[in-house]
Amino acid sequence: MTDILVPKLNSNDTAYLVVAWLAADGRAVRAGEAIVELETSKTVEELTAEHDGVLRHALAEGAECAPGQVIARLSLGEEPAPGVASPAAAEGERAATVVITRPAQALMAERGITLEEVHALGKKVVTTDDLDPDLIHLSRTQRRVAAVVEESHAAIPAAFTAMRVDVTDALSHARVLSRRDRVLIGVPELVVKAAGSLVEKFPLCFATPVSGRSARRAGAAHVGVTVDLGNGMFVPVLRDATGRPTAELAADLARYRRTALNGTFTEADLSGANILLALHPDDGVILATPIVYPGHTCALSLTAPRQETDGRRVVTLGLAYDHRFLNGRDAAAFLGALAAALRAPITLS
Amino acid sequence: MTDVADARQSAAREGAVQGPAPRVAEHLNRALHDLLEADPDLHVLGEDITDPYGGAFKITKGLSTRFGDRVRSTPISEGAITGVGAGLALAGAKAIVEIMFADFVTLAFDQLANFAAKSTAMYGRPVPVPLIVRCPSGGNRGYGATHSQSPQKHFIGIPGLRVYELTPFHDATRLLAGMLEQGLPCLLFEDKVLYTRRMFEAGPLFRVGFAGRGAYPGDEVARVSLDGGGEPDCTLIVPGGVAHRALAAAEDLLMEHEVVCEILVPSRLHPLPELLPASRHVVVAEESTAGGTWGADVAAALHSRMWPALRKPVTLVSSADSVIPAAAHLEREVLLQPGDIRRAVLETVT
Repeated sequence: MTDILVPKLNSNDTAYLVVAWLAADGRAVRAGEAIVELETSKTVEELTAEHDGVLRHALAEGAECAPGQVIARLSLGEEPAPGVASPAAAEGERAATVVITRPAQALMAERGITLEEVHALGKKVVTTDDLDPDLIHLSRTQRRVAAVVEESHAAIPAAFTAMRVDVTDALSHARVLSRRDRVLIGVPELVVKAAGSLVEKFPLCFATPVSGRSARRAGAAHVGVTVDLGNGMFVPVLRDATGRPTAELAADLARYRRTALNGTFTEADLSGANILLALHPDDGVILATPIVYPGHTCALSLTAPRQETDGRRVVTLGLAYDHRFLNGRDAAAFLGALAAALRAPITLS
Repeated sequence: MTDVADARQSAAREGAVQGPAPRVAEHLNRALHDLLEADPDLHVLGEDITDPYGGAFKITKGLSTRFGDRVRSTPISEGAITGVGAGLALAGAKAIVEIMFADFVTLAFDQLANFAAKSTAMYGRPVPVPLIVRCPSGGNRGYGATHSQSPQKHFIGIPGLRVYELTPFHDATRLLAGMLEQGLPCLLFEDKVLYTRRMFEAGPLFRVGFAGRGAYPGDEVARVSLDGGGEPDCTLIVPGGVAHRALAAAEDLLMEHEVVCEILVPSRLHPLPELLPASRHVVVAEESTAGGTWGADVAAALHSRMWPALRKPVTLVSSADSVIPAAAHLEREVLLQPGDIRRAVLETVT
C-alpha cells in the first residue's frame, strides 16, 4: 500500500481543488495512468499512478487539498486494498471530528486515557482542562507571584534576621496623626516613612544590584507594600517615602487597598520599588520571612502589634537580605535604626 | 451575531458556489460583474484591465467583453486615472479605478487627498463622490521593494477619504455596493495573497460571525472565534490580508499552548469601526512596515475607551522597519509572519 501525495504544483497556492477522479474508487489502475484532476488558481493538472495497483480515494471530488496531503492510496500487487470501513479509516474519520491539543495528547499518553474516553466527553476541542477537571489552575496574579518567587529563590542567596520592636509610643503617635491628617495611619505607614528616612544612612538596603560586585545607589526610598485582600497578592509601590509626608503615603496605601478590593492595578502602580515591606497583619503571627524581590537587596516583614506581659505593645520586624550585599551586622543595624525611629516616632510625620 | 452562512447563501444565490466556496479573486470578479450589471452609471478604469488580459490579477476578467466601453484600459498614469474616476463621480456617475499595484497609488495621492476627498465638501453643499480606488497590496510573493508594500497607513486620517481592506469574510458585492452608497471616495486595499484563498473559510476549528450591524453594508466587523471555546484569552485585531496568518497563529496557540484567541477582522480601516474585544488582552497585527501604523490608531482608540478593562496596553505587531527585499528568504524576515503573531500573543498573555 503506498500513499499518493499531492505534489507542489506552483508556489502561489496553498491549496488545490480536486476537480474530478479519472479512476473510480476501488478500480485497478496501471502505472502512468491519469487518476485525478487538480485545479490550481491558474490551470488544471493531472496526477498519474506510479505503479500498478488498486486505487483507493482519500478525498472526494470538490475537496481542497494541500501539497503533501494524501489524496489516494494504491495497493501493491496482490495485497488486498482495505475497505473504507476498516478500523483504521473509521478511527481517522472520528479523529477528524475532535481536536485534541498537543498538551492534552501528552496527558492522554501519560495517563493512558483512550480515544474512546476522549470522544465520550462529547467536546469538539479537548484541552488538558477537559481531561483533568481536578486540576486547580493558578490565577494570573498568582502565576506572576510564582514567577517572581522562583526568580528570587534561584538568583538571590538570602539570609534573615528578626527584631522585636516596641511600638507602644508609635501607636499613640499614629492615632494623633490619623486624627490630624484624617487618614488611617498605623505601624505599617510609620515603618514606610522610617525606612524612607534611612536611605542615606543605609544606601545598600535601597540600592539596585548592577552585578555581583556593585549596586546603584537610590535617591529616595520607593517602598513596595504587599496588599492581599483575598483577590490575590499585589505589591503596589509607595513612591518617594523619603520626601513625602506620612499622610500622603497613607492616602496612597488606602487607595491601593481599595484597588485591591475592587479595581485593577496599573503597571505604574506596581513598578519602581527598591525595597519591599511584607505585611502580616493577622493575629498570632509572630514571625514571617519575606522574599527579596529580584532587583532589590533586602525586604522587610512586619507583624501585627501584640501585647507583652508588661503591657507594652510590640511587633516583629524581619529583614531578609541578599547576603552578597549585606551581612548580619548590616541587617541588625538597619532594623535597629528602624526600631529607634519607631520608639521615638515624633520625627515620623 | 449573524452567521457567515448568510453571506455564503447570498453568494450561492449568485450562482457562484456549488461545493467549495469561490476563490477570493473569482468572488471579487463576480462582484464587479454584478455591480456593473445592476448600475448602468458605473464605470471601471485601470491599466490593462480589458479582455483578453483582464487585469494583472484577472479581477476584471470578462468585464470589458460584457459591458463594453464602461470598462476601459487606460494609459499608464495613476494620477490621471484617479482624477478621471473622481471627475466621473463628481459629475453624477460612479467609478471604480484599479491601481495595478498598491505601491503606485502614491502617484494618485494628490488626486485622492486634494481633489476627490475635498470635492465632497467644497461646493457649499455636500456633493457625493462615489469612487472606489482598488489597490492590490502586500508582499510575501517575492515581487520586490516597489510591488509588495502595504501603504494603507499613508491614507489614514484624510477627512472625506475612507480606507477599506478586502477580507475573506465580507461578501464583496455588499462591501463594494456599501462603499459606493456612501458617496465618499474610498480606497480598497486587496492583499494579493488573498486572491487564491477561498472565501468565508476559517478552518475546522473556528467559526465566523459578525459583531453587530455596520453603518453601511459590508461595514460589519467579522469575529472569528473558536467553536465551543468559551471566553478567549486574547483578541487579535487584523485587517483582511492578515486574516489567514492570524488564523494560523491562533490554531497553533490553541494546539500547542492552549491559548484561546478570537480574531476581529474589520473591513473598514478608517474611520475605525467600533471594535469590541471579548478578552482583556489585545494584539493588533498588520503587514505595514513599522512606524505610524494603523495599529497605533487602533491602540489609541482602545486605550481611551477601555483602558481600565485591559490587563496591559495593546500589543502592536507589524513588518520590520525595512525596505522589502525581493529574495524570498529575506522578504520573510521583514514581512509579518504567523510566528510573529504567535510570539506577540504569548508575550501578551503571560
